[in-house]
Amino acid sequence: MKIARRHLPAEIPTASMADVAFLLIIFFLVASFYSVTRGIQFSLPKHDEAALTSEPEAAVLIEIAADGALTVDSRPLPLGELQAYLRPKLQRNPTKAVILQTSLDAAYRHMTDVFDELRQSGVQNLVIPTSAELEMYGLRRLQ
Amino acid sequence: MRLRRSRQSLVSTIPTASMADIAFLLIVFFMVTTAYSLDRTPMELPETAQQEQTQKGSALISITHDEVYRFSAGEADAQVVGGIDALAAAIRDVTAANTMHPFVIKADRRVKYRVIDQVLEQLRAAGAENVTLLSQGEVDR
Repeated sequence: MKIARRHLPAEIPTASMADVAFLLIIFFLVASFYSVTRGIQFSLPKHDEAALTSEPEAAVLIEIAADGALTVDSRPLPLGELQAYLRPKLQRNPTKAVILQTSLDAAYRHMTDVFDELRQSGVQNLVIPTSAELEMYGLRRLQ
Repeated sequence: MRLRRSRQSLVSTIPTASMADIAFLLIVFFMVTTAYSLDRTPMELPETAQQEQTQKGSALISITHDEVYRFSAGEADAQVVGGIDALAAAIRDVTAANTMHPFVIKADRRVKYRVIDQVLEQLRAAGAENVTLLSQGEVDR
């Protein structure tokens, strides 16, 4: 007995492939929006004694009090005027050191607010001394 | 004169042969660019106008509002660490291999600066050089 051979066309079903592909695209699109991967960058100085112990007029000293109030070079200054204060100094000397000292009782966001302003005004030489470092050099620590 | 309608009816098709290529190209693009968050603890990040992209594979130090530390060396999900000493040991493990290894500090904006100061001191003592403070974009007002 002879069985009749039928010719079935060989085909890979690809109709749903586009659906699967677009589902994956949308998944990765959404996943990339939800991950917070941006921030404000700085390099930690390695015991920058020269900048910390420099003459007062050689560096700008910014102090942040516990309530977030700013004292710049021993004078109170609103946050909004910080950029205007720094601009002429940085024009004269682009590598002017800026020391940012934050009171230990201040909220973290006060520090990032000032840091953000400093970044916007293009400070290149920013020093953020930690309290241990200040003690090491016998400098005053903000309370 | 009467025009004769062509017998050959044209089959209307949308050319979809290259669609799969395009779709997979996009998939690969998003796969490569998506960095999964190592720590999904919800917190209020500080807002800054200046922002840079953090590097993929950065070690992550997460500090919540109630001062719970979490740490990840960059691959695995962030795990809770006991305190500042345990965190310091974890930081040293990373910097011992590579001092240029990037660190990301993800801290709640309400955290006292005292905590950040301690963490920065540990990072500095361990010799870390590349630190990013994670923030969210400032809303224009």
